[in-house]
Amino acid sequence: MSMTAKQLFWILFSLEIGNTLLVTISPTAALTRQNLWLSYIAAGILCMLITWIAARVALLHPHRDFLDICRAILGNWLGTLVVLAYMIQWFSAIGIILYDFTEFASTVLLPATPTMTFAASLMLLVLYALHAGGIRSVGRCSEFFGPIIVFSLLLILLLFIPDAEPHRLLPVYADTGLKGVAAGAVFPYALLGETVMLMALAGFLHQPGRLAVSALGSVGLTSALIVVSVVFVVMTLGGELAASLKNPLLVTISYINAMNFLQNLEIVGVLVWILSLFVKLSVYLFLLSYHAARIFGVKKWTKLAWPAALASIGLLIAFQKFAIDGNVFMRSVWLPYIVPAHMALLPLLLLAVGAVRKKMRRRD
Amino acid sequence: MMRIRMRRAVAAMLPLLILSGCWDSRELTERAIWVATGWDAGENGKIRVSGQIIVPARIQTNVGGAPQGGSGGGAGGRGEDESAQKGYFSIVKEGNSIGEALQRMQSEISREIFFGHRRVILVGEEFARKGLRNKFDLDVRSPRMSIRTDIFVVRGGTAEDGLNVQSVLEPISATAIIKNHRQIGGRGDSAYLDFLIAANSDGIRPTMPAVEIHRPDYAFGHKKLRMAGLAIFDADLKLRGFLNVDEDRDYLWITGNLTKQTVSMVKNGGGVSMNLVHLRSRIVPEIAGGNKMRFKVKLRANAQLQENNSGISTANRTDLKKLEREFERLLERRLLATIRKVQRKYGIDIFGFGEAVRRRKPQRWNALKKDWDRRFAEAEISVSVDLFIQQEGLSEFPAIYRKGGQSS
Repeated sequence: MSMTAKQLFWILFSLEIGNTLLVTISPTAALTRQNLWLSYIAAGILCMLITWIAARVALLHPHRDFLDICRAILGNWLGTLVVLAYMIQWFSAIGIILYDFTEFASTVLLPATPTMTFAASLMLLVLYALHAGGIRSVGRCSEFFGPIIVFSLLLILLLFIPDAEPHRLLPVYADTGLKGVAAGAVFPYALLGETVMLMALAGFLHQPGRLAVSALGSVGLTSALIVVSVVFVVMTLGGELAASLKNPLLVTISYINAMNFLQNLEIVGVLVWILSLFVKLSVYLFLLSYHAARIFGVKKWTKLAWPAALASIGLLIAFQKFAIDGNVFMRSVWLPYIVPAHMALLPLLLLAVGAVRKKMRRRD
Repeated sequence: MMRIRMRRAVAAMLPLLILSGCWDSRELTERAIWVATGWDAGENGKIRVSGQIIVPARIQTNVGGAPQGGSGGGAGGRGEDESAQKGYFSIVKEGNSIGEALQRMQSEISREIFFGHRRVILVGEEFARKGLRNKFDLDVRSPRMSIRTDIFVVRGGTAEDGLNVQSVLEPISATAIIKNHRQIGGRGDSAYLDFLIAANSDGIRPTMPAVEIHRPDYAFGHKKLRMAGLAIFDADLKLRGFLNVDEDRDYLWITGNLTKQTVSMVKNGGGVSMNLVHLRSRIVPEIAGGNKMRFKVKLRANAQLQENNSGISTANRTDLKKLEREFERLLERRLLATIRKVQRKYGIDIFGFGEAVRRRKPQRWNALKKDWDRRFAEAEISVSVDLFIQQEGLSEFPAIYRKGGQSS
């Protein structure tokens, strides 16, 4: 069970792009208005940095999985603890993605359909993909979906051109300032920074030498497409309106009216988003059940995929019961805890300790 | 072996349970297609919502033959007999919210109302004067309504009446309004988004195109709709007044939204007119010392000579240049008068002079944005128009070149 560098490239791209475009634009615009895109550039650069760090961590012990890496660096107990912490992140991410997806599907697409059918059918599909070949089938799916996503987005961007008013981007930087740009960058980084999962994915790559190149390339392509997209959102709607809408990109897409017949293209945006969510859920469910199996000494990780999926549905029901949506979750859990700990401190700690240990061992 | 096969079969059947779901299946014949919305003030602060819904069976016959009620006679669409032939019907209900009114309507309509094709909103003048704040939520929130929509104030009337007026040329009157709007070179279906953006900005006040009901001769006294200029809103989204159709063109040019216009003047006793296309505009703020604001409005357009009865030969470059300059001065005077009128009569910055400051001098803007409308009213504004005559039509000389009075 292994994947190629090209598959890794498309996995990272596919799982990053969808949710970042759907959920981060509005809160970022609330802080930065027309300078939205500067925050996205900043977040993209930060993401490249953390991706590079994650890749360095993984390359300290190539061909080993995340649990082995953490145990080798921090010792048995602490290493396991770090892996458990990341498993909590993946698990909660699955729950919240399912929540946002079911909510979106029921309010925008199919209001009369019981919400659980969306979650259940998506999870069944994910389970099917995982059973068919684990991370490799996810990689293959991404190789196929990724270009579709790129193509659809480029098409949409092209159709944005007639309605774009470049003057809506002015004034650049001046009235937001460094503080504003940095504050806004937190939201996109909170999702882009999920590339730290690279530490756990790298072990399945059969040419570890190409890890950093394909991961950084992927983050670069993702960020570039996202930045161009948000620039068009601002040029079409203006920063103020983007801040007051829930999904500014979808509204911008629905605003397209090319030659009086290409209209209501939201469905293309929704397609991109669902493909992206599928990849993200698959990767997270895979990582979750794989590492659970490793920690609990279960031989076949696929045996844990079903229970993990069921538990995710349970989490979804809990989120629904307490009305914890992506926005609430982002502000109360993701930003104060996950972002600083999982997307900054832990990878840095692993890299620092791991590098020192490796040097000491070499000296001995 | 058998057990595995059974399990696979069950697994394959399982998705059928949820994927075949028909909860949201909707047939086209189960939908009532809503093409235009009207908002009016109801009793006791309620909102009066009217809607125009297509009658599909009649649309089909109309498309084939001539639209009923052409210029001959029954164009009015009043009374039972004529309305029975219209391609649409209008319905009105009041409610505390738009949603409530819609629910009341639905109880009278056999098919589910479908808003995906709504392209026009009409707002009654009285309703607009009371203010439009807190009126747009449903529209922006609902995923089923597009913000790509034409929106108009019905000057001196109600939206309900506006929607009941039948067009001469179009089977559905909503379509007639949209097409008419396009013909005058206006903003078309970006008017609504424009309004929303302005309502969310500090440096520009929102406007809406306006229509009015009149009774032209060609309709034998029946009501028709026509473009009636521009409705001006203040920062509270309350309607404050109107500009006429010509002033509206000036406004659209300054805000960069005008697509075409014809200007004319009398020269040597004959009319000369030019078609302007590719109209562009730039507002340059010049902040002098003190608090006095100064602006330069720089307008440019390509001009095509449409008719020339002035006796001036277009083959003569210097004469042509002179003509060009005269048109420029004429336009400058006209545009400046419009700006002055808005400054003095309304004191509301509908042109976005404030936005120009925010874009070019963001540091100064924070201090200026408070009380901006007053500063706008006091601002010193100059206009310069730059025309490029690029096409003179097919004739070099006026059709009758001989100077008048020579033969007699």
